[in-house]
Amino acid sequence: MNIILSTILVALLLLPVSCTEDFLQTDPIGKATVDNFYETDKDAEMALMSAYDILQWKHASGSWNSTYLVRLLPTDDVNAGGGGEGDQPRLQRINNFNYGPENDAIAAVYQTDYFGIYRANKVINNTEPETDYREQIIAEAKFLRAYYYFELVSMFGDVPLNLEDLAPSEYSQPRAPKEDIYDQIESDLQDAIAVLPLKSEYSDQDNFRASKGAARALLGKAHLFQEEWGDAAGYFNDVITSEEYDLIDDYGTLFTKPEEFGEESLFEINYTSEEQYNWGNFPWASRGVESNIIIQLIGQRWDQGFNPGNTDLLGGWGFLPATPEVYSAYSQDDIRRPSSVISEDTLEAWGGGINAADAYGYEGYLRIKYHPRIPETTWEGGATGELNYGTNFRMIRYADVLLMAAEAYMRDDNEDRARTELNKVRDRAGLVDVTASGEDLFDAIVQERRRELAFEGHRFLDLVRWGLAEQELSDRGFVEGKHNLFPIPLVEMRNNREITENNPGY
Amino acid sequence: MRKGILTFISLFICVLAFGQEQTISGTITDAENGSPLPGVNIVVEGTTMGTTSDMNGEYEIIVPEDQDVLVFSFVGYERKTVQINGRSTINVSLQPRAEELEEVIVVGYGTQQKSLVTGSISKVESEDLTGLPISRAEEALEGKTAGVSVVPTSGSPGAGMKVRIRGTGSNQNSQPLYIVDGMKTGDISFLSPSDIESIEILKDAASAAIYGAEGANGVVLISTKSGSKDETKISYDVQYGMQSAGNTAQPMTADMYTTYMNEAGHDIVQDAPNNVSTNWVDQTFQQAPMQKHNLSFSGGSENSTYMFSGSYFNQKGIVGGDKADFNRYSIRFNSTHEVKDWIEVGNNLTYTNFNRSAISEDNVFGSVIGNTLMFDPLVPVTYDGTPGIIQDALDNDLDPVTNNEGEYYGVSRNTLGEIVNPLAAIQNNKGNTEQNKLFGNVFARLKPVEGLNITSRFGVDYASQLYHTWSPKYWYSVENQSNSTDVRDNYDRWYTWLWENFAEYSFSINNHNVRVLGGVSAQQFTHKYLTTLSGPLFKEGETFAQHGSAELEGRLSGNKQVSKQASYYARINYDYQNKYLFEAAFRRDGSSLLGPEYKWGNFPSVSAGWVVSEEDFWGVDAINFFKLRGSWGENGSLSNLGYDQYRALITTSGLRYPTATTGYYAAAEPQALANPELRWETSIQSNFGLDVYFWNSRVTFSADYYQKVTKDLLTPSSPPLSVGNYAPYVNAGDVTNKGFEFQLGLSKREGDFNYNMNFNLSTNDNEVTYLNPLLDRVSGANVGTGWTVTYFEEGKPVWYFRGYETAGIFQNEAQIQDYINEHGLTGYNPQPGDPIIVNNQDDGLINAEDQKMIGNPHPDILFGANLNFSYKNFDMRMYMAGQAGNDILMAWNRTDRATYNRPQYFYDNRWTGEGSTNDFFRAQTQSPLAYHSDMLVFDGSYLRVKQIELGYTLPENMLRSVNISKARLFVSLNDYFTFTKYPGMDPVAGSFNVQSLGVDRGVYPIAKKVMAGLSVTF
Repeated sequence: MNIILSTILVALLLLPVSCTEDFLQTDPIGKATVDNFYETDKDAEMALMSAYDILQWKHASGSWNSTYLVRLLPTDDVNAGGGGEGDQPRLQRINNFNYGPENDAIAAVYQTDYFGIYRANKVINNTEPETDYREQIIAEAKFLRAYYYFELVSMFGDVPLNLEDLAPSEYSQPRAPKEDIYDQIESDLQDAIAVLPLKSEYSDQDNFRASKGAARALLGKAHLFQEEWGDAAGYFNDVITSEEYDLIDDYGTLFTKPEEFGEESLFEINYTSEEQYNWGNFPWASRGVESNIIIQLIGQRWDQGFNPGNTDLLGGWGFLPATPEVYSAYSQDDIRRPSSVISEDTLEAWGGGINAADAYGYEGYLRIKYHPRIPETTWEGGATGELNYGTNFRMIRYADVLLMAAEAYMRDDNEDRARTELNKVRDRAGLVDVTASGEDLFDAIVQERRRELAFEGHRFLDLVRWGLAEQELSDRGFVEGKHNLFPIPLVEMRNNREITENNPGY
Repeated sequence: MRKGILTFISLFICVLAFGQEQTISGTITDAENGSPLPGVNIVVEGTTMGTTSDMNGEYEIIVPEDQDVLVFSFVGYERKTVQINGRSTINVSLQPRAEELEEVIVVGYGTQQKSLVTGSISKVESEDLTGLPISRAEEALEGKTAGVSVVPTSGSPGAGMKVRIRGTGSNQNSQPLYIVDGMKTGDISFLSPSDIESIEILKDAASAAIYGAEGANGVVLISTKSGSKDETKISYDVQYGMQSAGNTAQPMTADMYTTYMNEAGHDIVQDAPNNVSTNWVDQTFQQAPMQKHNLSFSGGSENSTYMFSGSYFNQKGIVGGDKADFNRYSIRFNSTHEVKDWIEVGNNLTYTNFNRSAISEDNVFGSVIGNTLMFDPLVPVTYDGTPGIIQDALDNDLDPVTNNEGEYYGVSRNTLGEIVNPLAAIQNNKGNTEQNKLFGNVFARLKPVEGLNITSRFGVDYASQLYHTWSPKYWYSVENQSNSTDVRDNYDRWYTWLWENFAEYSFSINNHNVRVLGGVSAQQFTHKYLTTLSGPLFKEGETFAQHGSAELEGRLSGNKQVSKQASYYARINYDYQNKYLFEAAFRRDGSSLLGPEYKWGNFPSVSAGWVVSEEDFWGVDAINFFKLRGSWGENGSLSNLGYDQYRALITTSGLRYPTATTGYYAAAEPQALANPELRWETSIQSNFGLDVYFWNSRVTFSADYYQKVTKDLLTPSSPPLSVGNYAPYVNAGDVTNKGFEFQLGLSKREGDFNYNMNFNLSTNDNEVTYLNPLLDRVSGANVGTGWTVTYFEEGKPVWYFRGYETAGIFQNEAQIQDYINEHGLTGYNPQPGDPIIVNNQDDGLINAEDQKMIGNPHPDILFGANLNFSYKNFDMRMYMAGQAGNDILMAWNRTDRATYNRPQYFYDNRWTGEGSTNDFFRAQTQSPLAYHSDMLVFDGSYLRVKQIELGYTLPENMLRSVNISKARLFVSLNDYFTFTKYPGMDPVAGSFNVQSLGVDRGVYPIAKKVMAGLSVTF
């Protein structure tokens, strides 16, 4: 009896012991390990798409962090608006030039650029270019890496140049000089241009992907920002002579669905109404948002008495009302004005109105470009229109390329060519040709960029690089020598042992 | 099996089968003083036949011929078994017992005599649970024992509890580990409180150490009832009552609202009908019933015991009624069988079905409770007819909400967005959660030789849950509408098994008493879930709310999670002459959630005690027991660790990018930077205590001091942003909790008037003592738009409130100018009536950098009192609980929507001109400097009378004729009186979010209840 029991006892005690280590081993469920990824065309494609996905997230996140907003707020084209001064204080402060390293919205720009770079690096460093498709994917990743670094260098100046996978002990990297960042951007884009297809070579479905034209335009822009006029003009000329792009006739349709990835488009960030979100399933805090929620944020507020009359406009949450200054930048007969900014009189003429007393930041003018519109969203399948704007952000547009080309040629002493490119843009807007030269020509380019590209996120960086920011923005709080660059975020300053000095003034 | 059923049936038959009879009578007296004892239970052994002694201690009982043993039992006395041996008169004297000392308490993997305990363990018994109108047993712990804080997450029926043993020990989940009859579980909502025999709370590390890896936040051991070998019983308890709202916060009336908004510079729209002033709180809150039934059969025979019970609990909500409803059915079967003299087998099994509907709360973005406080008071509940605003909507093919009578709910033009008519929102609330759960274990206990017990126990916790909801079309306002319908079903399945094998050997040599325990266990946890959504439904309505009747295919997501744990443990208990006590325990746990190098954690503990009163030199007669004890130990926790956090894996979850036409490209990326060095969160606790009993234990007193340091808390790490991916969690924070605990008991048990009173008080000091130096502070919960209010920071309490500090109100322009000049401020433009914001960062700016700690949500002191009195057949119970020194933030406020309604407090206390007040700001709706300041932080101290119960036990002679051995009727007031200065919803109700303790975004208040009940034993 006792022998049997003792045997049972020993067996019971030892049974779990013998197989413990195996027992505690669990395989990941629904996920792959790093070692068995980056091996096939499909793996490479999925890894690349995560680098595109960062663009979508960084410009329109449900937490209201948006690179688009950060580029637009420090200008004289918009007020912050919203429900009141307490609505998203960190965005309000960018509009007032009352921001420092602690500003989360600015930190998010910096962080998401590096998120994009990390993902592009993963593709570039882990994918073997064994097939044509993988070679193209690596080229796309290089375009994206250059895109993110260009945003960093133009907004923050010297930043860490991370190109390899870092071990935890290497996480802190020092700020690299601007020149090194630009060198890397140029080399990445040259590699990309050599491989990337022309836009017309992409299928309709793949039209959003980086093309040779987009890479040339970005490289030209990188040279323009370094005031390397000849190189800049050369790459813009490549775009112009490629005959891949043209200005479309009707400026009024430029920002509508049918013109997305159209003839005038070089690079866009893609959003979709396909998800048919409603209030119950919108993934506010997650990367998974596929629609452009920022469009909803930047419409006039219904609760501020907005009545769209017989337009197809919809109400939003009140951010980014236009200023009188941007309205008066257009002449009466500029056909771009009603598609960009309108006065309250115009709205009333269209049968609508607004209760100005309640509208915070509203000075009598409505921003029309990127305003919520009925055709841009969907109510199908129970969707909530507010949450489903599919409006793409147009990042590189042919008109922008022409105006940059005009500037580069003018600086490169080719005023004829400069006027030619500038007048292409003016013709489409219904304006007479410019015949000026010298500073007047430059001034014409400056004015034309503001009007043509209003609310697209170019003006602040343009004013800074032209040295005009103090003149145009000091009454809004801009301090020369300080606000020329955004501050390196506090979290980076604190956690990166190699960075001790912030940008001047912060 | 058939034999089991036969045994079972025969147990009942014997109640009815009587043949020849004998009548026995006698007197029962107290063995110490000879006084007669009324109310003693006399039972014929092995049957349900019995009686009780009368006022003079006399009894008479009819016993069948074939029975020969009587059992005498009485509370507070040793039980006595007497052979009849043909006698007709049997006089018995019962020995009072020094009960406090003899009491046995449950400890990990066993039991222990209370007098020999060296750790800090509190016990709550079934009597403290039965009368309470509660759905969950944790609620009964509030105020019952020192050092335990119980905060309901909400007053909503079926809502959970936040239980904190000796303070908040972690930055995330700090719930204790629950062990029900030896089986681990994280939540005890399935358990009927009526089934519980006792709850033991292991507070110090040494007591909890045997549960090592999961004991860091304390352990709650729950034992369910079992049958008795001597007594067969049928008990039925019923309780029924009405609930209503206590003093909740009040929003402004229509006049106040209009005045306030006008003063703040907003135009208010008054639609027809005019002169409406709706108090949405009054309109939404209502009376609601609750009821509880429990029927149990228990008993045993020489070799077996059994307990079979069925319970039903239903509570409707004081907001939402049927839409906030909790319904639970449970059955339980516990049994033990001594199959041979060397083996016993048994089971504790329960099956529960619960159904819960809940309305939304604790949220300023459209929750029902939030809406009652924030919706426009100028709007009627419903309209007579169809006013213009509704007609316009109908003309545009929209769907304004109607009540069951077809009347349209009132719609506002002042309050838009998420804030809608709360009754319309309730009307559209369709969600419901149903869970089926099987929980329990089977065990075998071998006794091969004297003193050795070997137990093998297999436990299962299986639950399957379905959340079902659908949404109708609705139109609340231009900003909040839906023109379609959908249905969603979310399935969850949890399955845990735990297999434990342990052996205990005890022996005594010359007054050296030794017990040794050793064991191993293995555990696996599996969670599989699936969420589904489809729509639109081809017709609107509950009966069409199925995926099969949706027009389009829906969306699906889901995953499976598995974690495993293996453990070894050992304990030794030693005492010499019950005088010198020593215990040491050790546990080693391995978890699949950690990387290979850090999988295993070791958790040792030691404790010792000295019963001074057992010494020969002890000469203090008034003190019959005096014990000193001390303990030290380490416990672990992994409750805050997710899956695969130590390794970087490639995920595709939620990642995709739209193509330029339709559809998506899938995307994949490393989900986070890896941290292979992740390890166990550990708490190290020291405890010193003493127990002193006076006058034969009529007065008992215990005191404890503890210090608990939780190390290696999981906090977000902080690589530079330029690394480019999500940060992994790291072990980089310490929290220290320390405090004193006192318990005092007074009792008298003789004569007609008896009492038993317990008082407890504990202090707690909570502080984050270390945080990763690379992190300034970790941000927690948000309030409204753009205010992060709680933070985790070194030198501060866990999740303290951070905001603007104020120094009164600016009374006039001159004062403002002085302040601006004094501090050299730019960009700061207050008006008279605005708060004076303290410029803590002397940088010439008033901005978020000036924020500092403005409140501490943790109480400094917890206290409770339990008073029981009885006089003859009447008994009365009073039970109170409270806390002091904690702050509450009144947080149903937003700065982004100007014209929602605000608390009446804002109106009554506002600044209305120079000299009117220096405590609260003027009518204004937008300034974060005012709304994000300490002016909205209030003292949250409270005292709540949890229960006043009056009971009457029917006289025995009345019941004997109907074969009832005991019947008691009672009425009670529960949660009825609350004393607090907090002007918000409920100082007790908390929040679902661990980071939001003390943040009141409009919580569902705890109802006050008027209850009546009956309990009968056959």
